[in-house]
Amino acid sequence: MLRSALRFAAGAAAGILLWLYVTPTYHVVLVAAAEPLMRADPRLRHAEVLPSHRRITARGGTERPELPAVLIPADQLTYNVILFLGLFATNPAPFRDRGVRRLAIALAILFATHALAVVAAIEATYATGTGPWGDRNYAPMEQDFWVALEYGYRLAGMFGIAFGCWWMTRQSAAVSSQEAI
Amino acid sequence: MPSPRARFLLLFFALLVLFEVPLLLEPVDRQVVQPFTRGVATVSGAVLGLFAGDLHVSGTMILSPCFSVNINNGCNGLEATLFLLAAVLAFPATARSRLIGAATGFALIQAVNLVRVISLYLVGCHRREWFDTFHLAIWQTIVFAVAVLYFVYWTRGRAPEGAPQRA
Repeated sequence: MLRSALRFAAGAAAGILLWLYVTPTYHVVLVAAAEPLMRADPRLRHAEVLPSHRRITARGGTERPELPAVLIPADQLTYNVILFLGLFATNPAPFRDRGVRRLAIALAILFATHALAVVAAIEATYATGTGPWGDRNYAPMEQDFWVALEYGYRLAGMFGIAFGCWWMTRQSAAVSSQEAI
Repeated sequence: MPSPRARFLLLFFALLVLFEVPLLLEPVDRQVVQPFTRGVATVSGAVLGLFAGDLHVSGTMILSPCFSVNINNGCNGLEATLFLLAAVLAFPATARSRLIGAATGFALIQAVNLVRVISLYLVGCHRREWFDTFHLAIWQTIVFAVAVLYFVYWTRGRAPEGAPQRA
């Protein structure tokens, strides 16, 4: 138990350093994935998504300057990587056999969910944080939907995703449930 | 037919959504979440009062000249408790075992959350610039990590049906 706790602490410490120092660079990649997804919404078809250090900005740009600019604290959507890396470090021999492949798949899933979370956060901010523009362009149910999605992700969903990604990286549920702790 | 591991995850996420969505509803917030959070603030304030001196609790807020903290959703341990409950219910086990697992997990998470609230107050009071990092990245991770590690500990010897066994 103590060994697992120490391994968790080491993995989580690596995750904290990653999250503290790599986030601005990570946001550059994240916006490249999030922008096309966001443009699937016709209201935001011409929006630009730009990294802004630990935050992400969305705005109308030259094609649609009347679209308000919004700023989201994107680093608050991605820190589940700390929990994931902490849990991954508790796996017995995490980099042996298919461990690296499973880690790569899990990180790809985390990345995809981060991009979707950025889209949900931008939509929620446009829906409820832009005053009359949001009220004109989003029906009340749509506003509730985007806010609930963002809220649910932040409060528990992001940790559920990190847990699910880790659960799939374990050698087998039966074996590792006995070995991991 | 999904593997036992995938089946567990599907059930876990379904239960997580089922448990978390009601927290977004205003009547549930008013009748359940707010009174519970006030209780968390009262207990935290009482413990803090033993060594932090001049402070008082008003609703979900702990107020003092040094620092004031408002305990919101996400800081009362409810989400992590429901997260653990979803995992315990999704895992194949007897009803008695699940009940004990959920009750012990609830107590553990609330104890850890009490330490979180107290430490966040102290961090806010003495190292304000560290507060945001501790509030989100560090303490949220710790609380959910406790939930996950406790869950894994609880699952020891309760292998999912059909999962490969160690030779």
